[in-house]
Amino acid sequence: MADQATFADDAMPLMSGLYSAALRMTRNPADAEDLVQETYLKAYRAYERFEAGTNLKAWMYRILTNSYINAYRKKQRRPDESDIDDVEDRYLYRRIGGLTGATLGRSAEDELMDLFGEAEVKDAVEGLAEHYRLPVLLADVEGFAYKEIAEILDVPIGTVMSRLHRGRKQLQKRLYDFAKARRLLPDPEPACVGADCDGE
Amino acid sequence: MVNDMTAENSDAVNPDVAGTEHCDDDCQKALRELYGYLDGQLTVERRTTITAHIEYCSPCMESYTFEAELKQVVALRCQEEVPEALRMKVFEAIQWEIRGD
Repeated sequence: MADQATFADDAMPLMSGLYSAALRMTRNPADAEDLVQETYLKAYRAYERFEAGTNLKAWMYRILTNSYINAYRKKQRRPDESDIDDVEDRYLYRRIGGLTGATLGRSAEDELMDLFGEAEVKDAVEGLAEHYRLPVLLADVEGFAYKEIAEILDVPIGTVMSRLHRGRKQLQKRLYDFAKARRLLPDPEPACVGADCDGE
Repeated sequence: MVNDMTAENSDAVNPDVAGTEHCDDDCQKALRELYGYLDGQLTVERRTTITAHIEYCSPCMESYTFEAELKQVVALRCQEEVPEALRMKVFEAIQWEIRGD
């Protein structure tokens, strides 16, 4: 059992991650602030039931996620997901892998940072269908393991893996479409060769 | 870890520019487990096998490096600074709860 007196010291350092996640969930700073505040109050009140020494970060994210689902999910329109099945694995690499590898003396990360600014990445994440967005956020932004994500979202681990897989494909497609729309890519056609190429 | 290995392989020939598939069985397996590897979800044994493969297979190494760095960029770009007012509000709300107990 955890001691409520230590709650602020234990939990306050987690706020920037929780706030970032709340913003990607609600897509709105005022709602994100309300969600974070609600999460901390609920967590404080339940802190005596939290088993000290276990995963506080995962526990806080579970409260955040549940609060979000209860308060906001009904308001969200579900984006169209029908196009994900057409997206190949490593969608982005197949199209721009050559580009990032070609410039000598720069890391792929520098190239990717140039291509995808804060606004594009946030937009791409926020535009994901919700049941893909949460696993992608928890894995790629917050660094949780699949088992922790399964517990936070209360779904089986296989579901986490398949949603992550599809969510990442959708994210890559959105990022590619942004870069293409902003004419940042020299050749809009994917440079794919062989049987794997869908001839797009 | 992928970054370190990239440095060692920076002079390697790269026949796999922009996604030309290479069809070696080991490559297929390595690519199938790419995200499990990057997410730290593989057993030590699988991880060791794949590390050994991508160290000499530069097309796979490129794929791994690209996905690892993309993941990094997504994480970096999604960081937010907490508004000071929110930090204060939460802190005060907790103090209020404590006094109310």
